[in-house]
Amino acid sequence: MIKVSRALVALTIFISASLICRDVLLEFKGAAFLPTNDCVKDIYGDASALYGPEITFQLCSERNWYGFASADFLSKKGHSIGLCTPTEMKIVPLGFGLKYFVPFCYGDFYVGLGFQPLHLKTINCVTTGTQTTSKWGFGGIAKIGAYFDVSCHFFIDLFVDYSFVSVGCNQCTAGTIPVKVNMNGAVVGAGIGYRFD
Amino acid sequence: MPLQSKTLYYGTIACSLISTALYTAAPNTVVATINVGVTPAGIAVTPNNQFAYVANNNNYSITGQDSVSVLNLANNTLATTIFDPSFDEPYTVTINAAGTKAYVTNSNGTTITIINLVTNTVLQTIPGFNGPSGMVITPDGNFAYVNNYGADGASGTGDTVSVVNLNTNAIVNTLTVGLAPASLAITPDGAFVYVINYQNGNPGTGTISIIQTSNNTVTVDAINGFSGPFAIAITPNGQYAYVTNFGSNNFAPFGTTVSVVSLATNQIVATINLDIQPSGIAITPDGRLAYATNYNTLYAGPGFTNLTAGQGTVNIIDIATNTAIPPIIAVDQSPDAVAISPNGEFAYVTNYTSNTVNVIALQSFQIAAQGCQMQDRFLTYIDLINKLTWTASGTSLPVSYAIYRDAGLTDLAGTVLATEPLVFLDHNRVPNINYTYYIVGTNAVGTTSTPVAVTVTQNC
Repeated sequence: MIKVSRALVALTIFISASLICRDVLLEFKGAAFLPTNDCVKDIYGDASALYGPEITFQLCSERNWYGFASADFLSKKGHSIGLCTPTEMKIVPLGFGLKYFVPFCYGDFYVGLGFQPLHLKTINCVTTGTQTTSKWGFGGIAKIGAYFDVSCHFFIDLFVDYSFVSVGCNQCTAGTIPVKVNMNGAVVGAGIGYRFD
Repeated sequence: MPLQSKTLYYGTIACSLISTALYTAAPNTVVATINVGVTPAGIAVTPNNQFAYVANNNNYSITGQDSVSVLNLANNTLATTIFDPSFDEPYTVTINAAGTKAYVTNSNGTTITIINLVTNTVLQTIPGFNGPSGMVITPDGNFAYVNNYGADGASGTGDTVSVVNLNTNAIVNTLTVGLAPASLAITPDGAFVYVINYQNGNPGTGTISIIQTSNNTVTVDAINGFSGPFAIAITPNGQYAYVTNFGSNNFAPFGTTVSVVSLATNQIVATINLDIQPSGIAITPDGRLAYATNYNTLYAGPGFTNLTAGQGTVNIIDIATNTAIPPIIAVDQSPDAVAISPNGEFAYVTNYTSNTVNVIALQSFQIAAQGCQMQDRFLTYIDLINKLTWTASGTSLPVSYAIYRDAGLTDLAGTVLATEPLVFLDHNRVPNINYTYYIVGTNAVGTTSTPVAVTVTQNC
């Protein structure tokens, strides 16, 4: 939690400093999370809906370099492997990093790379009641996409991200065997946003 | 077989209730004792398992004490006692398949008394026997075979079996068998009647006569080598007969074995050592076990004096292996006959010198169990689970199962009702440990099974 708090403080300072620059993009995204981990797919399926806001802002010193910060939310129900016990996961992935913009006639292409803290909560309906686990994991995120200008200020963002985050669970539930899970996967989606410039 | 010695004089006439049937008991334990009449001998249970009829042999010839006790098996109490002038040292009781009539052999006389089981009153008597001491009824219910042991001062001199038409209640044939026919049994298909002949009671002198019921032809001494044969029981599959070798009626020499006869070859194929003086024998309806009573009454003084009843016991015989298996069940003194309820839940033992009937809870079912280990994989942890599955077979199946983690049955892991799937999952186990569980079933009458151990050694 200390690491997360520090990251949020840094993010706030980062964003505040950035807002004085001339180009800021604020969008709301919807996407499909496509996990690559077989365990995640077996328990929760091949795809899950993910949505949340993202802010992208031009770094003052560099014309094509932008910073970004995002916070998404995912909730998905599934069944355990073995006894098909009902289970639900709730994920909040955060993203902080840099994008590099390449303008084209309808907008901007971009690629990006960033740091991704991820909070994973599972709710398992076991025989003795409900077992809840809550854990932070840390990893990275790679981005590629394009902003299409639809008016002077509004744009549409089409993107593909790839997250790679590992979440451990030491002693998270008494009497069980903890395992580390890779929440890796692609995020394919679109967003609509407003450009302040 | 009426005991010839009149020197036996133990016990008193008592008819009070001692205990009831409200219990939860381990199998093969005495769960109730019921006082009955004087020197109870034969016993039979009605097909609906509700009543037992006990022939009180009155070996001491106490006036007015020839009787039949009726036991209410729902609560193991004495329901009533039937007295009738026709009774003359009643020795065995045979109940017809419909459960409407009981036939009482009057071993000191020449008649069989028929009792109406609805009213518990005497319907009539059938005359013409000679110390009748046993009776079997053909599966079609039309005929009965009665062994005539000899009576009234000539006990042990009979050598015939009477064939009775049960529609007319008249003897229709008399067949010559070996000397002193002590008891008899009929094969489940009704094709043959096996008659054990006491002869003179000396070791190895007893025989079996075989009656072919289709034409009532007899092979008189078809099988030899018994020692004072006392009782015979045939397995439900009709493949084997078990004969108790009581030894001499005069208590010396005494026998200690049960002979196993193959009914396919009509030869003794095994001899099983039991306790002293095996007397009655009965086989469970599933054919797995035989229960044999051990009379254990011997002379304690020199020169065949001081006849003393010791601790009566009941041996259990595993039919599959023809071995006596534990436990040896302690009962009252001089256990004579044993009958097993048709549902296999209880055995009833008459104790000749204690004037009681002991009720023994039987394990009427078997549990076959297996276990394996499985995983319930969640996103961030694995629940390691020991999975136990089992089946139950028998005549009175458990209504619930208890699963323990220790042989002492103190660590109860859980219970499973018989109405649920017979599966138990023990969650949150530790890897690389061999777990052993103990499953105990309890049937509707409260009899628990011996714990069935299941060791989880492999993955599901």
